[in-house]
Amino acid sequence: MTTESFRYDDAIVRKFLLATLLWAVVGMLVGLLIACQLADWRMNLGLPWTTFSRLRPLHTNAVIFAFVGNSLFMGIYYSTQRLLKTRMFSGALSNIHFWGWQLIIVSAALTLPFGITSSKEYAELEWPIDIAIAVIWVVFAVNFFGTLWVRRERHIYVAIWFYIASILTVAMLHIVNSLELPVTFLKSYPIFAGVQDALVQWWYGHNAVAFFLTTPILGLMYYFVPKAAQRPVYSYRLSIVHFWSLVFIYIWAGPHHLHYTALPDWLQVLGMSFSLMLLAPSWGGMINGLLTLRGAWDRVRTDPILKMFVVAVTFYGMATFEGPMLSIRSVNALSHYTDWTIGHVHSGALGWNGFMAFAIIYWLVPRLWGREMKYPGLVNAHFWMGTIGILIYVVAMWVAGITQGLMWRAFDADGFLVYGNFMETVLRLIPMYYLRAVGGAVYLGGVLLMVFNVWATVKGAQPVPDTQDSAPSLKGVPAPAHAGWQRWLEARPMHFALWTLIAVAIGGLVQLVPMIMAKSNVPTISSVKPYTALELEGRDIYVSEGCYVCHSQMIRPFRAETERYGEYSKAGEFIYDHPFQFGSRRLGPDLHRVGGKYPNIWHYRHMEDPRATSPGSIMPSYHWLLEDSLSTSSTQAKLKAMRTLGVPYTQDEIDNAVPRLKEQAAAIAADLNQAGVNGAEDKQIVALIAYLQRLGTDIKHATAAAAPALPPIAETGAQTAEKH
Amino acid sequence: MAGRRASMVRLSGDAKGIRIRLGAVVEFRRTRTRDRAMGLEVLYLLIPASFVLALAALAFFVWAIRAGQFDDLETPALRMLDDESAVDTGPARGAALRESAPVNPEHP
Repeated sequence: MTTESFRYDDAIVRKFLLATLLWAVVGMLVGLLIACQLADWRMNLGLPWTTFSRLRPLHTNAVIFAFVGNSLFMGIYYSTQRLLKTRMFSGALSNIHFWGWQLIIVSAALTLPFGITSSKEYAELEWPIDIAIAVIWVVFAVNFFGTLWVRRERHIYVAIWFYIASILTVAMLHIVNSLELPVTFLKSYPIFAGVQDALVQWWYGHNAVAFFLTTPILGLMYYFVPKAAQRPVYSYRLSIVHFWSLVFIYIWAGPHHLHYTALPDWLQVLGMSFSLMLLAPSWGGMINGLLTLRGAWDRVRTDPILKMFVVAVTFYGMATFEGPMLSIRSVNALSHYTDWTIGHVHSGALGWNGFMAFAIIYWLVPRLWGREMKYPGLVNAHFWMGTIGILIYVVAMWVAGITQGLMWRAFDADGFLVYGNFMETVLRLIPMYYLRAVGGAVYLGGVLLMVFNVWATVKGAQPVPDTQDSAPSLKGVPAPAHAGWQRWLEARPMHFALWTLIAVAIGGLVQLVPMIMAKSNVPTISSVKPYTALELEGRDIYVSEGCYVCHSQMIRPFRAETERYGEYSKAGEFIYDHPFQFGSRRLGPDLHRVGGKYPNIWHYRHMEDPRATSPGSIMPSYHWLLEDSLSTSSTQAKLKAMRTLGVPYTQDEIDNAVPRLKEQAAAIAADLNQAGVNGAEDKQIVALIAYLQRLGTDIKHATAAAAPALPPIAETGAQTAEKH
Repeated sequence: MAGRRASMVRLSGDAKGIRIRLGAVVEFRRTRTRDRAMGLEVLYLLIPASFVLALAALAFFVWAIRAGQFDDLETPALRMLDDESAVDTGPARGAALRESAPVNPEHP
């Protein structure tokens, strides 16, 4: 046994730390701006690229993948080297990972505000960036597993287990949810449609929360909390149980994002059951984290780093109680589409992710730059501003969410909706939106204090050499019950796990995708037809502008919703929707049955100035749709791509796509002309109007056609037609 | 209150309105049943994918036990506290660390 001396790569940790600070400010600044936009629509500034619906995805991506992403890489690169007693496997790969990830973030900032989006929440980036993410993630994985391979510590500490699970699962989720068919360089359609697309998206969406925002951070908790407290973790045995139960249960919880939608009931119940089970491992982890501080409570009183860890872990506990509660179907019936969900994710993001990152940064800066924090008092001030900011934010969102949920479903004694005008349920929330912006501003103020403090601390610091350490080599040391070369075999299962996973996933896809494609004869509602070329272009505008951010297209089968919006939504109506547009929040009314509800000119005026048609509306103006011309250069390619995905367009429809598009546009323009609007036929607004007027109308046409094969739908159609 | 007026108009109709309403209840159940059967072939992908993940986890778990990862559930928690203390790390850094991270009394 020879003792080897080596140095840890601290430079890469410093880089990720500084990137975390930068993106925290950017992501939260955008968050504050969009919070103000909901309080006062004028904050949309009248520019396409500063409009709420385009900036909201930028905010979520910046906070999740830029801020939290960099913070977890920072913690993983620091702790992995020390836990495994080795330098990272490859400095080059570390740097490719760092710069590649920053480049991906910049490319997000250069696409999302310009309406280049796939509209799948937390996976909005278009296909070239999706590929870049996959490549950089594999670089990270190879570097990480390579480090495991060359480790000098045979035992793999529990933090590393969490990192392994995160790296493998995120790769899998990203690949499956990003299966899409490119149409042009920056436009693609997902291979799944409607309910299927929704299921894949929320399988991904929920597990992005699980395996990007939770498990890696739990790994960091198991490393940094004991380190900061100078105490071993409360129960190592509990941490192992925590790990295995959490990773097993989390993956099934996705369907709770689709309660009471057209998703089959058994899937909803399955998702709910696993979500409820999640409470146990989650709280096991929280208790393990908090009790690690046993015997160190006197230091919690004075040490702001420990205080931040306590708040972070407490918020983890609160969020993981709230999550299972919200996933109960009857609770979700009230909370879904409201701000309650927004409050829930922010207690996770600001409380758990934010404070974990801040505590780790304050702990790392003195170790990475060899200097104490310049202003310890500001660290304490940051703690208080952050805590108070979160509380203001979350309470405002709870109040707003429950208020709106109750208003939507309120009936008076005579059986009428008490708030039949949707606007009333939004305007009631405005004070809460101001309060939320205040909470967010206070929280951001704390972050700015941290940035200033770190800058003041590291300014002019001499370059610090990489930390030196030494450990006996494992080379040639027989593993327990194994000999010699089996050291290599022992490390290999981790590579094995990765490559089998990828191989099986690819193999599965190769076999399954054609099967899915070939099964185009699924039972459908015969009156549901593909979109026309103009409607499809209009739909792409709807996606691009981010209408789904505030408007759902999924009427749940509750009387309060069918009274307000019309017939509830059915799975068969979405089979040509690549991507699905169910939405997750109703800042405006549901649009699934908006088709035929208003005249064309109403939509025209509404996009120009929403307050002209709906006094008091908080919707931004989309006046550029009235001015910008509709490009038809890729219309044919889009129809062809849709046909490849199984939408039954005829050759004639594809060949004559553009002439037919112009024909339909001319008809709408002529109608607008009656109302005094000239020259609209080649503008984007006409396509959007065509799409909106089509929405949810197909099952009504069944009445006219009297489709004999589908009597129930025909009846429904009759009823719906009656209502409108 | 446009929505309210609209619903009043709807409800103030004759018996025909009520009949349609009752029909809707029956129709509601039938359609829900049929909806369940359609359009979810993606489960052929997602359920195997979930199983693959679960099986990978299981294989990993078995390997972890065989490799002795869980033989000792006490010392790993203590050992991870020890790093960085072994070797001199340069003057500035050493001083900072001595100040900010007092040596754990239990594990010097």
